[in-house]
Amino acid sequence: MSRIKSMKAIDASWRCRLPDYVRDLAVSPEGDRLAVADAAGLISMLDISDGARLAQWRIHEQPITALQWTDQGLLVSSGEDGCAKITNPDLDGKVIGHIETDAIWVDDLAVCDKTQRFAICAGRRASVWTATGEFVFETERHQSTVSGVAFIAGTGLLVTAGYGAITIWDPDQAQEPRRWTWKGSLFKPHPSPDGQILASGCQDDSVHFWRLETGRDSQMSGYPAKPAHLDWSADSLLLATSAGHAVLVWSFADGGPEGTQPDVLQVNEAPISAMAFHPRAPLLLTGAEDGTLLLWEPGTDPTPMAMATMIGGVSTVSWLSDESHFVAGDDQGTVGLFRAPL
Amino acid sequence: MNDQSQTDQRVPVTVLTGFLGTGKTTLLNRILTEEHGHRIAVIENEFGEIGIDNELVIDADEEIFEMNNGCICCTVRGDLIRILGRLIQRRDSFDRILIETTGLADPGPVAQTFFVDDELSRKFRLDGIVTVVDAGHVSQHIDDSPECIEQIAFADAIILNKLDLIDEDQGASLRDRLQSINPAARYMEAEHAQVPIGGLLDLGGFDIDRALTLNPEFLEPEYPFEWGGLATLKSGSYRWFFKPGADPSIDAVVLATDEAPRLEAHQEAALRLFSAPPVGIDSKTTLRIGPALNRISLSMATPTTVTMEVPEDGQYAIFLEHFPHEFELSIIGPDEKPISFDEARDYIDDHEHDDTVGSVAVRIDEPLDPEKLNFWIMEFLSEFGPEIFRMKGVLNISGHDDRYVFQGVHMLFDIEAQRPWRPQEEPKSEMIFIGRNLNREFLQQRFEQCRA
Repeated sequence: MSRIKSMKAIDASWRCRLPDYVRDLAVSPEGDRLAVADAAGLISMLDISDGARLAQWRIHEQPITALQWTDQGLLVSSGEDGCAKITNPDLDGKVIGHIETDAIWVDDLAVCDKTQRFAICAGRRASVWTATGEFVFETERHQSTVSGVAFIAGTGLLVTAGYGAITIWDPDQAQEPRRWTWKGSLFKPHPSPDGQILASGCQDDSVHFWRLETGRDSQMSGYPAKPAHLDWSADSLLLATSAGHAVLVWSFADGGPEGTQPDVLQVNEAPISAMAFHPRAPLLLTGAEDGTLLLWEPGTDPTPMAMATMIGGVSTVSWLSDESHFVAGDDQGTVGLFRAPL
Repeated sequence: MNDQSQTDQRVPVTVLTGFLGTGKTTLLNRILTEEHGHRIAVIENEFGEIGIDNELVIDADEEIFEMNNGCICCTVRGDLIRILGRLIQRRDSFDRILIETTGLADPGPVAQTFFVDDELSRKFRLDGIVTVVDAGHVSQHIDDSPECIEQIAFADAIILNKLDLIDEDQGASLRDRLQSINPAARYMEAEHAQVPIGGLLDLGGFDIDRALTLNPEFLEPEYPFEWGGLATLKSGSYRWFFKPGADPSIDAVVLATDEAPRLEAHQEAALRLFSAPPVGIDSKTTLRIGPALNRISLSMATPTTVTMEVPEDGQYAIFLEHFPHEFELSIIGPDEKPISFDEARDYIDDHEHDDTVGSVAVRIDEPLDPEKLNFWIMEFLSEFGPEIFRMKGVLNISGHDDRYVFQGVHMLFDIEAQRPWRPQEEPKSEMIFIGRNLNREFLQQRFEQCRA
């Protein structure tokens, strides 16, 4: 770690203290507001310029599991109350859509870039809804709980994963579902931004991916722990994976990553708890359980280029659309905004 | 509270098992309503019937899957990984977790989940498995249900509920039966699941200490006899009366104690004699006193009487293949009164339950070599892991001042430093295995090879 002395320490531009564990962060389409979901079921609206709290609404009875904006400026959230809600921030947090499932929790949420529909998964089923809350589609019952949902960029197709399989569904039912089986417990699916590859961490300490065109799959095994966090670089050439303390970045350039070695980022002592690639550049932001935020240039330098700290363990990180700032939330209810030294 | 729980920041998890109708739900409802100072989040099974509205009760849809972890294959509860991963994000609202399993659940996958998932093992600690048994019905389940025997074998604490439904003798023989399967558990007796809640929590104190204190015979070899007694006899003629029992014969050894007035001084001699060629005894012959194995033929239909001539006044040790109460044995002396025993005890009998669940403890006093130990455990578990339900132990590791604790489930195990040995403690290593087809000699021999 001799090069660590060249690392730049970044101070927060602002910090804001919220009542509970920060579960998810979402930057508004205009880039002016930050919506924060917490474990108390609240959505807080912050002014991105100074962190001032503009509003706070109790949307869920239980902790919120995920939060996203739609292009029309609505907020979609899912919760451990078994519900998904559509909230209009411009009507002082009025809930304009309410979806109740028969499961105890809605585990995950995804908004489709093409159709602005959103998908939720609860128990063994996933369903797709319009941005205003009209029902579109429900999957068949999966053989186990659906661990996560995602849309393949530019296609409107839904991906679900769970134990034993990853499945692609057409919510308009013009195509039959495509299912790839894999005997293992797959985590949330991560389609690459170019829509070519599907990646997923697996409980058995491996990362699995499928090439969508051919269905050809590969398994990257030997992780020291379960790869709980995955993220793609904007150009779809790098897949960052974290397992415990380790961050491994695979390159999909030049026919890889099969037969290649991943780039191993030398991380601090605490396990990684959040990860996000920069919206354009091959820069990776990681957050750890000890509150450390690190900024990396995978493939260029195995040591971090900048560091910042949160008060509690980092629970979520996100880049702003201005491409120069990032935000982080922690398990103590703190949100911080930082300017990346680019 | 031991040193470990003071420094361990992980959330303790208690697993509650037991068949339907044992009183498990009654107990769970009590845990949720009583004032006991703990804030407990409950993960209830999908058929759970908790009658209390509590936001910290979560319904789990049991999802068991096979997981390949390196070279080890095991089954885990996928739903628990997900639920606990989320629950830890509301850490402030509870200080412990209780997981209720379905009546017919094998506790293995639940326990293994905490060993296999790195995040869970970092944030949660499997404190104990509590099994509720219905004293009135458990005997029949032990014989016909592998799940029942597994729930007993896995337990750190066993609640003998509905004891009011059976009489004292039945209660005593039930306890014997359960303890022969699992001597390491803490036993609690109850009617209507009335047990102190505190007794179910903080079981993680590695009960090997208590197990060995309560059952000193636990570390002994397995004896081929079930019962032994010492009696002071006058010279003369004695008659042994047997009522018809389940066996056509019973082996017996009778030894003059020759100034060694303790049963344990003679059990090794008896052990050797039980493998000697037997001498057939029936109502026409006389029992031999001294180094011989008497095989007494018994009528299965009518009572049997055999005679024994005691040559001189003194103390005699008698060892019997089966418990005397199985035949309502009485030994009548020259004074026409049944003899009484100065000392008598039961021995753990494993000889007729080779394929059933039992337990073995091994011990050595010298420090262990960590590498040899690790290698042996890995090798042993890769072969015998499926047959081992639980393992616990305290270890004296060469070159370390700490007392190490060991625990495992099937093929998975953890060894971690617990605390320094206390000044008054004698550092030693002891391990308890609970499982099927355990071979004490083999385990002890291999354990001894791990000496530093």
